[in-house]
Amino acid sequence: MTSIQEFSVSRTTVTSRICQSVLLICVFWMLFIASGDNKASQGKIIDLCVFIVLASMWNLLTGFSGLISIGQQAFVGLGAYSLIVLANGVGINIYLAVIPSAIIVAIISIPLGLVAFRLRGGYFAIGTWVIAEVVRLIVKNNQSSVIGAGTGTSLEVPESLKSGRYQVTTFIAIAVAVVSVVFVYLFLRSRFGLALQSVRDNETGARSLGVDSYRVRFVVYIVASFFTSLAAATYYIKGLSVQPDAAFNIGSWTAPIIVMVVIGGIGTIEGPIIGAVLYYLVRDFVSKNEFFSDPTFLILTGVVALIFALFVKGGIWGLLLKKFPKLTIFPVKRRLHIQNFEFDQRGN
Amino acid sequence: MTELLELVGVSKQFGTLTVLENLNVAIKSGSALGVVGPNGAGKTTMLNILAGDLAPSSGSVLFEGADVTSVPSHQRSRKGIGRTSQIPRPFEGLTVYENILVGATFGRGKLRKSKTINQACGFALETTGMTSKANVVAGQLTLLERKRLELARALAIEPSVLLLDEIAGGLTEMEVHDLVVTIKLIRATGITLIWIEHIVHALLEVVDQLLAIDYGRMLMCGDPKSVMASPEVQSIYLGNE
Ligand SMILES: Nc1ncnc2c1ncn2[C@@H]1O[C@H](COP(=O)(O)OP(=O)(O)OP(=O)(O)O)[C@@H](O)[C@H]1O
Ligand SMILES: [Mg+2]
Repeated sequence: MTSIQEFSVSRTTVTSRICQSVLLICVFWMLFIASGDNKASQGKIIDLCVFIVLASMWNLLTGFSGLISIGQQAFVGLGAYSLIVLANGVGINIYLAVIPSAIIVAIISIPLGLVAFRLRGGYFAIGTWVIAEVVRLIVKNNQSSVIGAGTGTSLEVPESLKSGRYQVTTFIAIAVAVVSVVFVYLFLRSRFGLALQSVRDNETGARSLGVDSYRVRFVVYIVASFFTSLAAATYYIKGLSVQPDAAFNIGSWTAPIIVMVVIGGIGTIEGPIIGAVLYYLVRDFVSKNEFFSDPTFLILTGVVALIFALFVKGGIWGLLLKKFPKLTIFPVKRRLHIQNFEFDQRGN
Repeated sequence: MTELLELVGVSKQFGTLTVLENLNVAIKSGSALGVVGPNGAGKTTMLNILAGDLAPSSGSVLFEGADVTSVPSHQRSRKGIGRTSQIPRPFEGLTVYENILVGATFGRGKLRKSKTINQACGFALETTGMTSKANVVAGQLTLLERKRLELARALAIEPSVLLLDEIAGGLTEMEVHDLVVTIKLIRATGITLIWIEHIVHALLEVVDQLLAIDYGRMLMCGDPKSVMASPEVQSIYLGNE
């Protein structure tokens, strides 16, 4: 036997560095808009950043760990109401309340996860939705003045914070999106990400190699809950008014998220970002047209997503990869190198 | 020598179907046990119970003398029980190297140093002849390569006992020959083997004990040649072919 102790492993590629630089320029461009005072553009950037996070997190759950959730609205709503409780109830500064809100939701997600994880596959999916509905009903029936029951309530913005709110919120939204995407990237590159992908591809196989599949999935569930509610809290500093039926609405949150991820490319880091950007570009483009009301838009994008799910499984990013196999923004694959050794080049 | 792995009075029912009935099997550290029996005899079920992928209906599993019946499969791997499966279970979205890395990283618990992990990967790749395939995504592998990957991954956990389920099934004569060479290599490193196989001549080249089971019951266990020569085993194999 020859010895291959001398192998090395590479992760990044030239293309990935170039693509990351381009992405960084986009971030700077968004920061530039954030520092201006065009509220309409700032509002769009906030929405886009929020949905990039939501889509990335749903993709982390479904695309990378095989947990199909149709109940992400639970964490959007909980994020919104945690923010309300901390800001209106406790009196914490609205901006400083964002991260603690997400921490609270992450803690709440532990018992919710314990319930959901008793179910598998399709039953898990339905379970997540049922949990979201139960949480909605609990919030809706809470008569305390802070929560405001079925009619909801509004985030109270102190006079001193009123003027720069859109600017600050845009900065927060960009930061949340960047941190989320970078987190997903580093997470997937780590040992943990390796375990996660092995569990997705074959749970029994992963377990027989020492991977604690339950724990791995549970951690992802909590992480996704944290970032989902982080994005939701950010969204509501802009939107201010919170009603249970809207905040826990599957059609306003999870449905477009699924559309974005499926069209962009499920199971890749790039896909959800592309899907979210495209969704907002198209939406913006048709928004002047009376015909494309919210429900019509959702139905049409749903049909497109269905077509993608059936015929273009890898989404737009998958199509791009077919044309340009070397393309990558966030490389997670490990490539082995041995000096003067010919590797099988299949699929490369 | 001590018993490394044991089944004590193991039975398994699926609903009303009895698949294993009061099975007692023991394997000594460093030896190699072959398992034969017709289709549906319960061989894979026995392996699944040894690896912790299935719980027995009654009876117990002992590893190094300790009861591991209720220890889940990922923890049995960490104790040193490695397995391959009859139908390969590659992580199709990961490369061959990454598939092996899963075993090397998690197979023996979380605290392995990266140097140890690298060595385990190198050993697994080389022993199974998969080094040149390291960067291929597992979804693109042929059946032979998938079987070798099963073996490589299980080796990467550095098992003290390796459970092989029809690792030679579906391969050509030449491929079987190469595989036997590989398995002999593994055997030579001191790893204890339990190998289920229909291709008896391959099995006889490696094992020093043979277990024949039928309808979930032990027919015979002992010296491979005499087990194969016994009338009971002969009648099954003649009836089977
Ligand atoms: N999960 C299950 N539920 C119900 N029946 C099962 C299950 N798994 C196996 N069986 C049945 O148990 C019996 C033994 O199956 P097993 O896979 O252990 O056989 P085997 O000896 O490995 O056969 P082969 O040589 O074909 O691989 C078969 O009749 C099979 O149909
Ligand atoms: Mg079998």
